[in-house]
Amino acid sequence: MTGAPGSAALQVAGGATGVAARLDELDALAVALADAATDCASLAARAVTAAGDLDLGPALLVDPGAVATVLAGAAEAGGVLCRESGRLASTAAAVAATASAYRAREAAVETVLVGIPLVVAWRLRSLVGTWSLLLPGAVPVTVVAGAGAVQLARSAPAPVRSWVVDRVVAHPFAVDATVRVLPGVLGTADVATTARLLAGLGGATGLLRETPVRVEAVGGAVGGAVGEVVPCGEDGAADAVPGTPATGVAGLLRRGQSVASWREPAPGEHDTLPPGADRPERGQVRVDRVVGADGRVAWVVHVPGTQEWDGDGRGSPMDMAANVGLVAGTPTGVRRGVATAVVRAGVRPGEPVLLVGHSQGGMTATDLAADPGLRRVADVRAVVTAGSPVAGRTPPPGVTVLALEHRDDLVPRLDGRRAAPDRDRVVVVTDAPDGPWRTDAVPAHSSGAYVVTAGRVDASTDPSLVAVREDLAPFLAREGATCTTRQVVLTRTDRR
Amino acid sequence: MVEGRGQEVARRCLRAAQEVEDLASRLRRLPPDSWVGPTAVAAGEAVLASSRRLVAAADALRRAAGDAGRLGRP
Repeated sequence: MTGAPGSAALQVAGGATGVAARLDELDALAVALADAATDCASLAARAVTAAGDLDLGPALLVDPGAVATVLAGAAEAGGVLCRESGRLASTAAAVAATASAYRAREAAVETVLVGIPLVVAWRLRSLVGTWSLLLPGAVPVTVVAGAGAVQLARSAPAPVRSWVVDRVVAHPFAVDATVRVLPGVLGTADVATTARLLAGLGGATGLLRETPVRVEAVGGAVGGAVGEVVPCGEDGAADAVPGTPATGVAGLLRRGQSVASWREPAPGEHDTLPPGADRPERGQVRVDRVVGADGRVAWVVHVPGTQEWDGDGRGSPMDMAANVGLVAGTPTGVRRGVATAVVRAGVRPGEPVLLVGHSQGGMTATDLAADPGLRRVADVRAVVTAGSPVAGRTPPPGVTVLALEHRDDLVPRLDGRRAAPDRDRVVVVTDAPDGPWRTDAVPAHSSGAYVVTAGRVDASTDPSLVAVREDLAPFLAREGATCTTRQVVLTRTDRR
Repeated sequence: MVEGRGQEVARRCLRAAQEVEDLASRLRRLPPDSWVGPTAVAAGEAVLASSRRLVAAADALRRAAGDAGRLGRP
């Protein structure tokens, strides 16, 4: 863990400095250590008696000094083995006791976090059950009622919305509880199944439509059959614009804030702009081609977050239908569209690709890292996410993942799982910084807040973060590196 | 006769040394290298220290085997 003076510490897990031990690993270690202690004791006895076959009488007459050396050596080894057997046995006991203590603590926390919501869920489930006796199709009605409630909340007076948001933001663990409870209420097995159910019901009612996505180059539409993913820029360079590579992780996220710009905005530049100015156009995806002084090529793909809070299949594909589809684990139009944009940008086999995304963009980026179709033609080496619920998504081994999460950001909690750091995935958790985004609905989720946190990641000396920065170096600004940028727009075609 | 007994003891010591080294190697592989945290680190370090001491014990057994193997030889 590292932290700048006067600021909340960055809690870093995974990567070069590793992850905390899992309880089942502690259990396995305790058993293995106990076995090793037994084996060690047995070897101690064998070492001491190894010289037992020595015929001491004749041997002492022949070479008394050598006999003494043999016996001393065997005794020394036996003593060491005997002591180690004891040490291993006591370490085994300590590890087993630690695992039990951790387990008891987790059980206590689970009881508090899950117990009360479960009681509420049980009562709600009874209510849904009563409905189903009276009205066939009670669940769709529930979904429609939920959608209506959302619309009502969105159209509510600002003070009411503010009050609700404040209550939720002040209690982010309520999101965990809700996500855990929802499957119980709907009678499904887990969050993904719930999302698939919602996607199906949303599709049937027209609330959520996962329609085909068209891919077009910025500044010049590329023709093609409506209803299909259409390639853009077949020549691979026609709409590429020269620029500079991003500076650090903060630069990557700052650039994603403004995919409409051909350059990297200056630090804090967005904070001085009127709301909506220089923001990404709907559906825009930016692909940067970075060339080092040695001529090596690397690619950076910036995937925007949610841009459309409806899911009726008529606007940006970064919409609510995509959110539900991503949580459900089903293919989404935005995923196919970004994959097409990457391929059509001219990525060649062996050239490393970095995928960067905030919020929904991070989910899409993480899924693309494991997308077999994309991996056949592109060498995805790294993913950077900010405020994305990616705990349940696992890119292939060897793909470096840097996931930034603010403790009071609700969005990373939406997949109902805890972040799972490992050797390839570094999870940074910290408090959201204060800034102009404080007026946003959920300030801790603001991309501007994550840019500031990314700046702290760039300055951190934590070994895991240092290692991640080394992995990201081919994609970032450095001596002699150049960059050209291509932008595409993904739009839903509204044809089923 | 002394030489034969010495050879037998040497073989036993070498076999024991090999098994001790195997045990040391087994211990080295136990803690996942991804572990952090006070408990996991302490347990991992204790296991690795045990492994190192077992290697020393195996060395002592090999030396004893060498000495036993030379018994009775001119």
